[in-house]
Amino acid sequence: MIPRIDHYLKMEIAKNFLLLSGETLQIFAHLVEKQLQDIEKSHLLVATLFLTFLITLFGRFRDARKSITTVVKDKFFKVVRSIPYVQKKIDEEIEKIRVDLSHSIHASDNSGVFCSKLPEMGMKTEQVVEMADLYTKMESPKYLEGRVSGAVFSDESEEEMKVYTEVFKRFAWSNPLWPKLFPGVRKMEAEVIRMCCDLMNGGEEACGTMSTGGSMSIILACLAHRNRAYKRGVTKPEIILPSSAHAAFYKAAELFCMHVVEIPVEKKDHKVDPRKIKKSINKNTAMIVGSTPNFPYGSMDDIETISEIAYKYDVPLHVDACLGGFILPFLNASEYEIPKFDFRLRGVCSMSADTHKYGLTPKGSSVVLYKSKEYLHNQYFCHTDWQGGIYASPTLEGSRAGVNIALCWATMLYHGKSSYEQKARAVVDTTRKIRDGIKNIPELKLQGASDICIVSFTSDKIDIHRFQDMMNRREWQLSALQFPSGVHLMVTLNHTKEGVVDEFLSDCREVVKNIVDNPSKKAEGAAALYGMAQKIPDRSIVREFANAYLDTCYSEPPFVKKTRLE
Amino acid sequence: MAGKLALYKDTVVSNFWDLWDYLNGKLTRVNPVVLVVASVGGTYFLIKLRRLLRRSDRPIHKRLMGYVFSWLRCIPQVQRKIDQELSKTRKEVVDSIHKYDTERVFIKELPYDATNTEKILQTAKKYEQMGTFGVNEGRVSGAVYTAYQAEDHLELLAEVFKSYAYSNPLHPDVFPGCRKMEAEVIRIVANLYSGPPDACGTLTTGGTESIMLACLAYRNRAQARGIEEPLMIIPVTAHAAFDKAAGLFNIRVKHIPVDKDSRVDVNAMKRAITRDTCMLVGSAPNFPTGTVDNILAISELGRKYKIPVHVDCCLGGFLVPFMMDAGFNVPVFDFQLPGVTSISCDTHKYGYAPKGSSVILYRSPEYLHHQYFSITEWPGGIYATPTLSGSRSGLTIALTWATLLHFGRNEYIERTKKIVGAAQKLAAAIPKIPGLILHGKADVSVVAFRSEQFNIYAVSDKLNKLGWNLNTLQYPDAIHFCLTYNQARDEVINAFIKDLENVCKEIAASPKKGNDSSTAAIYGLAAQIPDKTLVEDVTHVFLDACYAMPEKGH
Repeated sequence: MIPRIDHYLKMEIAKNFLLLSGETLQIFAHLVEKQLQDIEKSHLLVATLFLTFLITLFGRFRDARKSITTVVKDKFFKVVRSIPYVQKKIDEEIEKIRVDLSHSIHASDNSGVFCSKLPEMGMKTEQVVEMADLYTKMESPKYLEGRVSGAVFSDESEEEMKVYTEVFKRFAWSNPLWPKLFPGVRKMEAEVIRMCCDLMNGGEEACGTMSTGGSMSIILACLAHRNRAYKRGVTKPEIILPSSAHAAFYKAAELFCMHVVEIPVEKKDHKVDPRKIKKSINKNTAMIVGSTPNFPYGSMDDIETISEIAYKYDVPLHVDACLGGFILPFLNASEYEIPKFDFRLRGVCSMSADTHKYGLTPKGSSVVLYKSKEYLHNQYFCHTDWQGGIYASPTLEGSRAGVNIALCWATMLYHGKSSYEQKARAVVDTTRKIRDGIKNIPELKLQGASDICIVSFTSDKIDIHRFQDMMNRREWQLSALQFPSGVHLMVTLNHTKEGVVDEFLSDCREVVKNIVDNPSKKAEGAAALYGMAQKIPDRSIVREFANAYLDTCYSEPPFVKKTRLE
Repeated sequence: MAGKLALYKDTVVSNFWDLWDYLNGKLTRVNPVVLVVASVGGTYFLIKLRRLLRRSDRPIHKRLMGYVFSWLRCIPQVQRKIDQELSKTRKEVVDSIHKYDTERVFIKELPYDATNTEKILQTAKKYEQMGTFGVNEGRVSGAVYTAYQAEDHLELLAEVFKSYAYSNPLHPDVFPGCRKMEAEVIRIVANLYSGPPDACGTLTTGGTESIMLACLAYRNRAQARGIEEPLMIIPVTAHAAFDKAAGLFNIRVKHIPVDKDSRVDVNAMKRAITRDTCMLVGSAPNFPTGTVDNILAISELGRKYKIPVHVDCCLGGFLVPFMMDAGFNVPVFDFQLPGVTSISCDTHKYGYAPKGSSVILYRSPEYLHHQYFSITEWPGGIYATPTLSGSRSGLTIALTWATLLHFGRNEYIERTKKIVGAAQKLAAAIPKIPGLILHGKADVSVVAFRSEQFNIYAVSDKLNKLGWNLNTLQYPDAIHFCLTYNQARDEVINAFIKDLENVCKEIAASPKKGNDSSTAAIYGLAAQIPDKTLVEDVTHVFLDACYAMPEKGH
């Protein structure tokens, strides 16, 4: 038993402590004074001012959102690149890649048409539709036959499309920026949010907004938590981020001037170690992130443990359920061994879930949810002094496409829990079936648990880039992973169709055999680029590849004949 | 000459040492510890003060007042009083938003069984018809810019919807069609704005995103050039999205006042330029008063000081490029001016595409590359996106593309004739109504007006009761009517002028001159409160109410 210290004693101790520290300070000041007495005062003044200046400068240098090694490395490569010979060589390489990219981007476009000017007279409905159909036909990997990783999650059934087309017609012009003009679409958004809060076991207090996609939901959550940190006096907010988290977090950090504290995931299970998160928490920590599951490896972070840490240190935890948001709540937790990951855990303050992935809605909708309004309010923007009136908007947009909201609303009602349950089971079962198949191919090595909706694997024995390239030739489009090199397949409803799994696995086996038989051949195309890009130490060059890639997406095809269809 | 220089040098040097000795003399008696602590503390304080001053361009006294008020809120009695008022406001706001929802049935859980198709469509129809304003009859300012539910156009869009509902330009290899459509839309719009061959850009989800992306690109460009705390210079009439971007991306803002015509004061803009300036902004036209800024002069400033110039054509993006051909006068505002480096233009306003699309254009890829985001070391692959979104709705792109081709240049010119013609007719009628003054120049499609004799917000409230939905402005108190294709008819304009006359007469005759109207009360209060966080609380109440469940019954 600790003896009870009464109030008087406490006061006495505090008083003595104060007196003591006061005396210590005095002695210290006296000592310093003696030391400084002989120095000329003006020297002293100038020296102190100069020193303070230096310290602030250094502080600023430290604030720059890069580590010192990166700064030095960047500087070094900048100097190297300023040598004309090097620059010329690099430019040549980039140009070569640009040509390659242009070729691959425009490869499927054999229409010979490119509209670069508004037609003088409007085109008739049939003409426009005909042209749109021509463009649709350019699509080559057949995603509805389960050939593509991710991208389209729904099977676009005919009856479903009929409902959506009708809903589309009603709400094409609606805009929730004007809730009084479009009360219906406003209500639909409120209902979607309430339904999603309920799915994630948020209480009455839970709230949120819809957004245009997973990246946007993540960006909004980061914004809200950054603003919360600012309000609490943090000037350099930090995000604690597992290295497996989605790229959108890095994007948000760049946009909103936040610093990313990256925690590498564990080699054994590709999950983040909660103890490492705990060690990284400091007074600048604005948020912690966990994924259910993450994009590269499809493994679920240990949200239960992270939540307790977050709660203890009063740091908001964001659970990125963009992928799992419309799978996990529909699974029988004990049957499928799904741990808790949602608002039932007290540390979870915000979540993102994509309605346009496993929620099966047309592209352009996602939700970001918060435990309570006090978090959401940090996401809201309002401009009280604008000449155009008091202006408030819940998300990054001003005007928003009401039609995305209406479509999401209709999809959720159309399917209902029972259909989502059945589909979630189908996706997870298919994933586990593919995982087991990959496990049986000795040349391939699984990365992470691969037990929800992503099968992620690599290889120590064969060139995985070549594997991807050859699968691509067989019209299987897998996503490339890097550091370490690997590939993954994101399983959608289209992969649950009969025969897809068997065909995929048998192609995997054949391709692996083929590579083992001809070990000397090299990968070609985009996969080869990936292999090369990882070896370049100067990342700014890779960034230029990325720029070139995006530029090419917007470029005219090199073989245009006409500016309109005759 | 050399002797003179030497003399100068001597005097400067000797003066310096004089000063040095003087300083020493003054400081001998000061305790060295105090000296050190004071100079460190002083510098620290100065740095903090500078940072505080630079953070915002709101006048210091207003910020101080706001600060004092926010402290006052810590007093429990004051907070209680405020809470009482807020809950009263909350009730009013919730009522005003939920009054259209007469049935008060709210879906709060995902139904277990699939809802049948009929039921979904029925409910959707019911929801659609909750709105009471006559959009088709031209009763609403802005919001819907084309004939609502025009059969022909809508049929086309529905057809496009069927093939593009799930497309996503994040995967250009899977969806080459919508990738190409976006490339075409960008080229078409760049050509409308006399873009050089190098001109480039991206499609976005709306005007706000277009503006924010331009701000982002210029911030990143400035930072790449070693500017740590970039500053943007914008007219007070610029869209709220610029201030939004400033808050999001940590850019400092300097607001420049406008002249009596509501055009930005270019001389003041010139004076505000510092070496930290990352962008200059002009609007063609601005949202509040529909006035086109002097883009030529701003472009010259940009060129002279080598600062990028963004021209915000979000609102009139598909009117101004056609005004010449439609027979109206409009000064040059586009890439023909060498200083203009980027333009934002909304395709979902007068471009008549469904909501969710806008375009941001740059003079050359050098600027656009600062907008691109890429992460080269992500385990999920090399990840690169052109805009804020990752996955994007390919549908919006396809709808925009189809609309542009379907309308064609001629139809846009025809509509521009009608809409700008209607705006000029209304603008000419305003000064003839006793008590009303035209606010700004109504250069394009927005007609703003104010009054010195009565409270203009009361006019808005009364018109609202007559079924007209206008936009309220502030600083100064004013309202505006943004004319769309739905108003581009004589009967609508005449009916509006008639109602406006009657309402103004009525209010001018009333004893309180309209100061008792509800909008007047809100804006009046908001203008008086120095603590802006309080006004923010009210806007939070508004936004929360939009997401709230309705209370049962009335």
